[in-house]
Amino acid sequence: VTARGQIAAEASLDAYRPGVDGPFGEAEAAHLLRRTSFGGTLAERRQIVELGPARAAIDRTSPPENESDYARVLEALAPLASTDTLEISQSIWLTRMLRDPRPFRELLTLFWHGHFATSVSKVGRTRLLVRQVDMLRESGQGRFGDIVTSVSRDPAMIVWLDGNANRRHHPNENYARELMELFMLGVGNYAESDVLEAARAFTGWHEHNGRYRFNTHEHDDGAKSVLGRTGSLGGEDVIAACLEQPACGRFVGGKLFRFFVHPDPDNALLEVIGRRYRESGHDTLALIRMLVGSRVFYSAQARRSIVMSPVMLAIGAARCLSLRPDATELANRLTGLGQSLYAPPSVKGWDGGRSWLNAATLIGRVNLAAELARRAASQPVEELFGPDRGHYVTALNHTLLDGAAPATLLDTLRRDELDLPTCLRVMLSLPEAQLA
Amino acid sequence: VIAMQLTPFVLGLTVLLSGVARPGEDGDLSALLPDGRLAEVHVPSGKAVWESEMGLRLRGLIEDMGADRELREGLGALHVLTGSDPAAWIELVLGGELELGVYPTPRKNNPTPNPAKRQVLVVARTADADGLALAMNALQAALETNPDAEFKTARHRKLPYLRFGKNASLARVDDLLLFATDDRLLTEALERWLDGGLLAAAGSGTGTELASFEFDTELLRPGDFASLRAPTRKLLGRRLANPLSNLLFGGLTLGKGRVAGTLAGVGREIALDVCLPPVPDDAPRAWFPPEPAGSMAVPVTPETLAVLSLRRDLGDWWRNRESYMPDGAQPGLAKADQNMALIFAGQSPAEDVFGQTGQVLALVVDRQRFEDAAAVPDVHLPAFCLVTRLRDPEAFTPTLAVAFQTLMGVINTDRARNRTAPFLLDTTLHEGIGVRAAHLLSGAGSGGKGEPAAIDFNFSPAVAVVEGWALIGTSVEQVNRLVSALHSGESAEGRGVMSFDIDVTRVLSALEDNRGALVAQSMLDNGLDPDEAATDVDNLLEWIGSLQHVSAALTRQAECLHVDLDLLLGESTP
Repeated sequence: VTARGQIAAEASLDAYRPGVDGPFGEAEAAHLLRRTSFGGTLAERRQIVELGPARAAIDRTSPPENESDYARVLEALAPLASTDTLEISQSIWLTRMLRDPRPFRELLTLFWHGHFATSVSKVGRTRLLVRQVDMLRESGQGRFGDIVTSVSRDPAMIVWLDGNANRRHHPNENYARELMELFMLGVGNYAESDVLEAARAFTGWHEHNGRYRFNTHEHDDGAKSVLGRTGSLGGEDVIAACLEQPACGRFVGGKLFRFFVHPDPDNALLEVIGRRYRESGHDTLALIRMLVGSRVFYSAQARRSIVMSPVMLAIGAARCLSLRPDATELANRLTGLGQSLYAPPSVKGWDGGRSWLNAATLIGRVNLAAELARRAASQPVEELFGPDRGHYVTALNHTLLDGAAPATLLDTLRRDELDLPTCLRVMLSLPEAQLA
Repeated sequence: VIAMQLTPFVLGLTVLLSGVARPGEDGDLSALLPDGRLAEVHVPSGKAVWESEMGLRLRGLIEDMGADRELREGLGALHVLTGSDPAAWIELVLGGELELGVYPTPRKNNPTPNPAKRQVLVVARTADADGLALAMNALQAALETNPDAEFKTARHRKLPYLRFGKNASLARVDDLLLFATDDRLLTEALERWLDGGLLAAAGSGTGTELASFEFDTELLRPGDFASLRAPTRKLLGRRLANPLSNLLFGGLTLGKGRVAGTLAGVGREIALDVCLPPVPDDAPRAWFPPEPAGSMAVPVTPETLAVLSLRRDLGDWWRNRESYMPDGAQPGLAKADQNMALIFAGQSPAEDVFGQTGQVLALVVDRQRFEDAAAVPDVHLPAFCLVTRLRDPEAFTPTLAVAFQTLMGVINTDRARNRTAPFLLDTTLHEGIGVRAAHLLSGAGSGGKGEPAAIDFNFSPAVAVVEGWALIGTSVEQVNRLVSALHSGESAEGRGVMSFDIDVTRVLSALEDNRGALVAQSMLDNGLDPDEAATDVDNLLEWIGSLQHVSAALTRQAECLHVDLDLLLGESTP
């Protein structure tokens, strides 16, 4: 990393200044909404434009002033929580994403769910996965060290990575290895001996009857050496040792950058992000607020640079148009598109990016668009766009694509007087609509 | 426009009122129906149906569903055109005797009719011939003054009638109104009228009979009943792949022939009697065993929601499964046979398990109270118990006990693999009878710490043998109640080869136990707010509450396979 590169990286993370770095209009507001809230209505865009980039970054990542209506929704859904079935649990989470007045917390929870990927396929009990996601929702905006500590004691994670088999005389290194490779440091930033020693530190971190239990008899309290720390280390010490590594901030901060800003940060940018994250005590919310208020966030490189996951595509379109889709049906369709909530494909999570798109999933995305269009057909147009919508072809193009639909297509849609659901289906199937 | 609006109106209402006629009776409107009909419906008095409790509830249902909008639009158009009161039209056209015929549609250059299209002829006898004449004149005058009206006047042997495009024709003769979707049918009916085919007016029915009908099973074959045909075949095919469906409906093939029936109603009681083509004499004894010597009564409890009673020879059914079920199902059946042999300690499923059951078996469904339960789940599932008479209770008792123990062991192994709480086997005495039961250990998932109890707490499997009956249930609470019922003699009488009884009032209570879960499910499925979903669920419960009791029986008789369905409507008006 050259000094020039580092200076440029520092500057790109400076706060975005409307009028100096570029405009701050509805297109920028739509961009912020897609990245922090899955998407949003035209009215929400206008509110963001009024707030300006700095205040909007805070506003969209803060709880709303009044969420009593949303609390009533969650309360009404509670009786189904005990059914412990995957499909219902997925539907409830999707309903949270659709209804939360500040869906940032759900978007971030989705990020952590992919990062600390744990699947019901091995855990077996959906209830444990739901509790894990609840924990990620609760702690996900806090300090990364606290998040990892909670994850390390999470019953679903313990089952998923064989924590109960990690015993004093027979350490099982599954969790320790993934902790370093996938959760905290990344490949090449630790030695094999660190993994083996860390596994000993986590012995006795067991699950019993769906709860975390520290099994003293199975904990190895002997001397260990992990990443330069030596002593009678426990799991907390291993986490602290990992957090001290510069690689940790770079690895996790870089992953947050790729999720919220764009998929191709250079090394200089990663170094700066890592340093700032570490210096903040790995304060996740502070890092995200900095990222989504920065110059690089509003750069051309960042706009429409992320291939939307099926969940982001569906929830984004629904939130843009205030649709209320059948959440059970939606959960099944998303599973068909490769994103089954609570059931990521492996401990690495979903590959993401271009891997979301192939011949089969493209057809599935068109069918998903058709399903959302059917739902739109049952709602008054005023509900979809607000009173000053203009022609619905224009309004759809504006709402979903920031006006990016090809002019020839718009002319065809208007000329043939295709109905709103058909136009919605066509627009959601466009390549532009697959990008956030 | 009017024809388009009126067609569904007339067809829909007539079909709703279930009517066509029994041919050959003096003065019967069926004399006007041309030959070759696939189905006919006779309604002695449309007014009686309209004003019956069933008519009242159906009208309420139609309004609740919003399906009356099209009817109202059609009537509204008539009102605008003729200035007459829509209610008067309904009373005039549908208040008297009604006859409906369904016909095949011939095709050019093809001897077989079009399987996808049927034609309909409706004849209505109004109570007011003068009123009908005035109304028809008003309609024709209004049409003639409307430049957008697509119709023309036509004549058949000097009798005038109206044609609306190719698919609707309307005529009046004396006190009769005739409507057809095919001009040929209408003119043939007029021909019959001119030739004196209709004698004096028939009476207004038997008083309780609302409608009678008859149709050829050809009506259920290719074409426009495709949507009905698929499930019918699925249900009634002789070689059903699903064992449960096969046990229930296998062997009940729809033979060729006519199906006839009547719909009657007195107050809140409605009875539908249908005579299906008879089953062959050599029908398999698996589904048609000889009449049992004793009673067909099965035990029920004060919490019973529904009972399904069957008369079957399970031994014959399982022994001959290769011929009763299709080849594709055989690998699964072979595996099931092996698994059962394992669970029943190496005994032969056909001889020692199924063969041990008597011909009377029943599925009893109960509401659960969770009075002595270790934990009460948020979602209350009903309890199910298989009840069957045993040929040799003494021999079967240890067999059942061992099988239960083995089965619970298998389940517990699987639960242990998923690290979920196991079932603990136990034997308790209930009224002197040993009931073997398995309870979930309280602990994980049993509630507490702000969490509801897991749905698994709906299950406490139990078995017992008492008074020559085997009870195999999902809930020990229900099995105990059934033991008490067998001691006290509380029972429901099974009828024919299959019958069921549903106590809708109790079903409603069971649903109300789960109102919160139903509201939540409605929110998920329909994207509703809590209040909207609550209203939705309340409407559903209110609609279900419009029924009080439903029962049905399938009885084998020499001349036909007889189905009778009895409904008792609830006291409240929806």
